[in-house]
Amino acid sequence: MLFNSLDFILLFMPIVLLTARVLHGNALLFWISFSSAVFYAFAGHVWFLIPMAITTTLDFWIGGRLTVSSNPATRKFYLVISLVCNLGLLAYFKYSGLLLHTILSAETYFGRRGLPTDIQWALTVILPAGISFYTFQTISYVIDIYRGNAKREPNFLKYLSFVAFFPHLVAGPLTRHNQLLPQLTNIADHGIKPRWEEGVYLFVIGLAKKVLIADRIANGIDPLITDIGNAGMLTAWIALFGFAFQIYFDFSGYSDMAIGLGRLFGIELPRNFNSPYQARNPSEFWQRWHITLSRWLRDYLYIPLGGNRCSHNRRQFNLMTTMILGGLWHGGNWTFAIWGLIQGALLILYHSSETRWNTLSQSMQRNLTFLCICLAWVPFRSDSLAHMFVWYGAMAGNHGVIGPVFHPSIIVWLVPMEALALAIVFLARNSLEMNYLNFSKTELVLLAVTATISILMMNYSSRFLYFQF
Amino acid sequence: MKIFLFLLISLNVFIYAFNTHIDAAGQQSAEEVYKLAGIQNKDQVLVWDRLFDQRIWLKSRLELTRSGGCPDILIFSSSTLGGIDETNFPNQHLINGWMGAPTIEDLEALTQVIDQGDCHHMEIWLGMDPWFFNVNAKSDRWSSVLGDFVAYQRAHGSMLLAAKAYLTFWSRFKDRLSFVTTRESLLYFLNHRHDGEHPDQLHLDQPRLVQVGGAVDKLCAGATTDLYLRSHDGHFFGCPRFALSPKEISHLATTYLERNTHSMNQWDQVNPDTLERLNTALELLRAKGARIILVAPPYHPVTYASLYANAHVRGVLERLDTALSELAKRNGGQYVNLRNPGVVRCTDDEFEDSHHSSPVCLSKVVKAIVAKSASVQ
Repeated sequence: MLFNSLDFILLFMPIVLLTARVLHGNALLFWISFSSAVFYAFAGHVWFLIPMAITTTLDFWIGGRLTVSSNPATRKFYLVISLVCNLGLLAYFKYSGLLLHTILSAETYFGRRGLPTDIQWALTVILPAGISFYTFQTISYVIDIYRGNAKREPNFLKYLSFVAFFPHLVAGPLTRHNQLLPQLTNIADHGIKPRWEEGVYLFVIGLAKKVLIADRIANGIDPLITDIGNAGMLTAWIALFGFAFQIYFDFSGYSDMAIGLGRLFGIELPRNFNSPYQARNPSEFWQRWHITLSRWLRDYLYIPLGGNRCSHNRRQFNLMTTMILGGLWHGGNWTFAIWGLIQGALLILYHSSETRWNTLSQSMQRNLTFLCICLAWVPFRSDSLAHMFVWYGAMAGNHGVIGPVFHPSIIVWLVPMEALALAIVFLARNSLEMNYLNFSKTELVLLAVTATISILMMNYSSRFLYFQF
Repeated sequence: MKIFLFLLISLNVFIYAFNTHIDAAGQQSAEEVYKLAGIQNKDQVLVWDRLFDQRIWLKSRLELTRSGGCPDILIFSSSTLGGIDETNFPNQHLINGWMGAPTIEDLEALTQVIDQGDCHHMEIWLGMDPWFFNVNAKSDRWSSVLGDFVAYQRAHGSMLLAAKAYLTFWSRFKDRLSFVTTRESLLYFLNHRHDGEHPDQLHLDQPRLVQVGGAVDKLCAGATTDLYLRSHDGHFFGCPRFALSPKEISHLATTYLERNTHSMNQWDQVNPDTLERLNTALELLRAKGARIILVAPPYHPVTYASLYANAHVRGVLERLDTALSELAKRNGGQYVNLRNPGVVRCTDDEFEDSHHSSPVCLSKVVKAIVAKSASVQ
């Protein structure tokens, strides 16, 4: 089940919300957990619930053990169990395909065949949607208890609701226990208090971002990217900027919908985007793009590695390691590692030339940052390293200026869509900073028309890009 | 909030009501079509200005076979083979059972109708378009033969599928709130808003049977949009004056992939579920004495070249061909792969768009299939 489907909007959401309104206490928490499990099962396969149940139960139990244990060695032992199990499960589902592909490629290269079929079979798995998100959430819960920064949650239903709360379950925002558990306590005690306007309007804006912009651009660029070997320089650049806008509107649209849905339950989920393409340097970009992941990586990877409080070289190593692992978090493909590597290099380059960078005009800083971030999207979107090189080659003019894959609808539809997306990215108000309680009549009419068009176009929509991560 | 909700609900209710009223896909024509198909004779053409329920036409025609009119050759396909007519089979009885956007559910319902009927030893040509195996190219039009589908699932398939079938009303509801349906309804409305103003013009407010020849020509002359015409043998044809120009055909052929026709860009794999269910249906048809010919219909040469120039699409098509060859072999049938128009020497000017062959090309297709099957006298 997707947010951008009539099944969700007309059936699932009204039933869940109206039922939730009359419930309190554990009954409400059970209802939230149950409906989230139904949502999750319909988002993929029923068996997706199994790894989530394992992760949730294990970390709830370990949270309890950490609280009652005062022996540092025992506490560390429990922490290691949690990390090994969580990261092991994540690695198995996420990276076994990469491992298999790498082994088979090596076998082909060396002309040997030795990997048993049953091992190949074991390494061929489907990635459960959202596993990267809920695993990180439960890991942060355990680590914070271990560090003494949090107390265990004694109510399993509340803990389950925190992990499984459907608005953020599949693709974030990555929500920490200290952000959600107190709010769940509040609604369990007092019932949900929907913030209708803020929730519904933000959901509609997110839906429009996804259905009317991201998906329309995707329809234009997907054939170009698939056949990038036949794309000329112009086409390859149009495809690149198209993807930059697609992923932004897709993911920020999803995040808006998730936050809007949260508000309908009276719950405020953390902000995930803050006009990232308006950033004036790579460092600022990472404070504005996928904010919840950036902060998670900072708190649980970069700082434990030493963060800034170490030598210059060590800091650069920490930064690069964090960004490469952050890249690989997105999936089992070396292209994601390359993307992380480029992002790490951009950050290191920026930090080492910050003074000189700041002498540039603000618009120049913004445009250069946007260009660099876009260039880094090539490996992120490429199917393989070979595909990535072909794309970069096409952008450099390896296949001429236009290329055989070019067609008139690129000029008629795609370029205007990208221009519209560009204008929204740089000129429009941020969707999370609008005053939803004071919309004018004209704005409400426009919003209703936008919602209607979005509903009509939903049949033409695709899955959210971040479901695969 | 009240303004927003009032407008949102009003707009959606209006669109739903408008689409239901126009009924551009002819979803509410089943009863009338069943009746007309039952009485249609060789000199009559079933005509409507909307896409009437093709599945019901076929069901009606096959149920007639119980009274002795079994076809020698039955075609089940999309419109890609829908233009094949009985002049290609001088001594045989043909039913061209083409339908718009057929799915595995349609084939299962058809299998049930055949299984319950008295026709044995038919030769069945199954049009195997790539999108038949594309999970992204879904269609719920089969729901008009829901009863047969459920009966099939109870007897040979899965009870879960039988139960899920009853949810198709929800699919229809969603369909009436979709962009495509609204676009088609609007086009119909704009093109037909002056209908009925001329007293001598036949008002096609419902499907009708019309005599072949002058009456059809007159209808075509007065039509504001192309008509849906289905002859007694089941083949379709249109009014010649609405045929696309070579330039338009060339455009459609060139941009087939770019327009993501048949969700081709999202075609990741040959749907294994469809293959498995197809195999089950073929086994049942074979048990009924039918001979099976799987046919991959030809594409326009330019479209074909663009499909095979795309490594991703080519890969899936090659996997499809392997699977269909195995399937045909397993069921004692043949797989006739004519996707490459060069195989039957169909040229650019023998196509009506990117994937619909003209009667000239279809004659070549028939000859190729007959030669391969070696069963048609």
